[in-house]
This record gives sequence, structure tokens and C-alpha cells, in this order.
Amino acid sequence: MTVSEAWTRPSPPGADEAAIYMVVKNDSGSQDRLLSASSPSCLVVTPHLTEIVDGVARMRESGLDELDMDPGSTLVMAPNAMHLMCLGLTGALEDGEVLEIALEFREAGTITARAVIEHR
Amino acid sequence: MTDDRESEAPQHAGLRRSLLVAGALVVAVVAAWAAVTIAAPHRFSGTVLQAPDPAPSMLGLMRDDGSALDLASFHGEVLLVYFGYLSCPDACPTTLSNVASARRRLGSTGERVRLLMISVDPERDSLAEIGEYVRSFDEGFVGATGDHAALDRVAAQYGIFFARGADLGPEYAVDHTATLMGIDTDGHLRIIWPAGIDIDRLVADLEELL
Repeated sequence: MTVSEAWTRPSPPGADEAAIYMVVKNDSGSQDRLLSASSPSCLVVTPHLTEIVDGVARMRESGLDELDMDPGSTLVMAPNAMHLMCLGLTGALEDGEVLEIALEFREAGTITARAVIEHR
Repeated sequence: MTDDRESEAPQHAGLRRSLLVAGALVVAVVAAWAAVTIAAPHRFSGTVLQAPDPAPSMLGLMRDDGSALDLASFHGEVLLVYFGYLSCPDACPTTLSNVASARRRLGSTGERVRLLMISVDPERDSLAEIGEYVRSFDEGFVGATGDHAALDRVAAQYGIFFARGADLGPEYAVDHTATLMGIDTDGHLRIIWPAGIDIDRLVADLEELL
């Protein structure tokens, strides 16, 4: 399991949540599933999905089947799509700093990533 | 010597012909380029509206400085209108960040581009918070909101849907139409861009509107 291109935006003043983006590639030979995620910068991290249907943006928690990863498959977490939602920021996310995040997979175990905090 | 001079003449004639051909090619290429860039109308990346009337009034909503929101105050500027809410971590910051990037890329003309974010979550978002939020993306951005009666009326006139969405832990999402709307320098609603419009396309369209 490889996690790359992890990033998030600096938090606007007063923000209590943030979306974290990254690319997860299952380069193992076996089926896997993202079970959970956590970060010292967030009280809770939940996989979320923004869906734009008929121009309306709706956000919901990702279904378990959406976190299943076939061997060789890639999970792209990007704006207006799937992302890891950080609920309850423990402090402001400052431009140029890094957010530590741990992803827990059923087979691959814990993979930690460093999300760059930057304006994009 | 004589042989040299005789062999030079046809070479010069050949060179002259080549130069003429090259010159004609340059003229043709420049003419074709001019025809394409000057004659072809700009292709907008959103839906272009031909509204005969000025954009619907937003009276009833308040600007983040506490004054009444009057669209007339934006005359001469391209006003980008976005309905959203502050505890929206994905769609809203993506749009605001893209508009801020587009505005920077436009340089000094970008100063005539404004973004107005109208919060459809007045229960959680105060005017002061909205102002602080939008200006963390760009100093030229303006925030606004109002009570539900005023928001319902304005949103309906702009064809915007919003409703309380999924519960997210102790908080909740607000489902909302995430299109970006452009009001031109004369105050007419001209463009509706789809949610997630990218920076390059936005810059090209704004250059055309300014």
C-alpha cells in the first residue's frame, strides 16, 4: 500500500474541519480495505464523499464498499470527490506546515502519511 | 573565375524564389492566425445567459460589514456569486481557492473581479465570521447572509437549492447548488459555471468578461 501526494489547505479562521486529499495505491497482490484514519490534528477522521448531482454538492460518509481496494487499484482522494474529513481541528492548519495522518488498512496495517498544508 | 560567376547566378535566382515562397508562407500563417484569434468568438466554459433584465436583487441580505447587500455597488466589476457555508470543508474552499488563484493570475485587471459568498447556513455562520472566512482566501472577497426568508427568496431567484444534509458527527452538512455565477460589469447575470470549474477556464472567461 502506497500513500502519496497527501495535502490539505490552510484552515480558514474559525474552521473546525478540513478535507485531506491523497492518492492511495494498493500495490500488494491482495484485496484490502481502508478501515479508519486518525491524526493528532483532528478529534476524528472520517472518509467522506462529495457528490455533485444536478449541480448540487452533497457530502456524506463513504460506504464501506467504497473503501474496498482491489489489488493494483488506486483510491484518488481529491476536491469534490472522496476525501478524509478531519472533524474537530485541534489547532489551525498553517500554510507550509505538515499534518500527520495514519491510515489503518485491514491487510496492510497502519500507513502514516504527511499531508503538506498549502494553498492550491 | 568565369565558371564561378556563371554558377552563382542560378543560385541567387533559386534563393530569391525560396525567399518569396517563405514570405508568402509567413503572410498566410499570420492571416490564418488572425482569422482564428480575431474572428472566432470566445467559447465560455459555462452556460451563457442572455438576460435582458439586471440580475435579481439581493436586498434583504446583509454584507459582512453589516450594510444592506446592494448589487449596484458592484457596477463596473465582474461579480462572481457563490452560495455555500463555512463548515463546508471540500466544495466551498475549492471554489474560493480557485477564484482567488484566477484573480491573482489576472494581475491588475483581477482587481475588478469580486467574489460574493452567500452563506446559506445563518444559524452557524455570523456576518463577521463569513467576512473573516472569505478574506482568508482573498482580500477582495465579500461575504453575506440573511434570515431564512430572505435567503429562500434570493436563492429561488437564482435557481439555487439548499437544505440541511447528512449529520456528520455533532455537526451537519448543508447540501447546496455549487455552481458559480457571473454577473457582468453592467449588472446582468451572464454565466453559470459548473461546480468545480478549474482555474485556467475561469481565467479565460473572466478575461472575456472584463
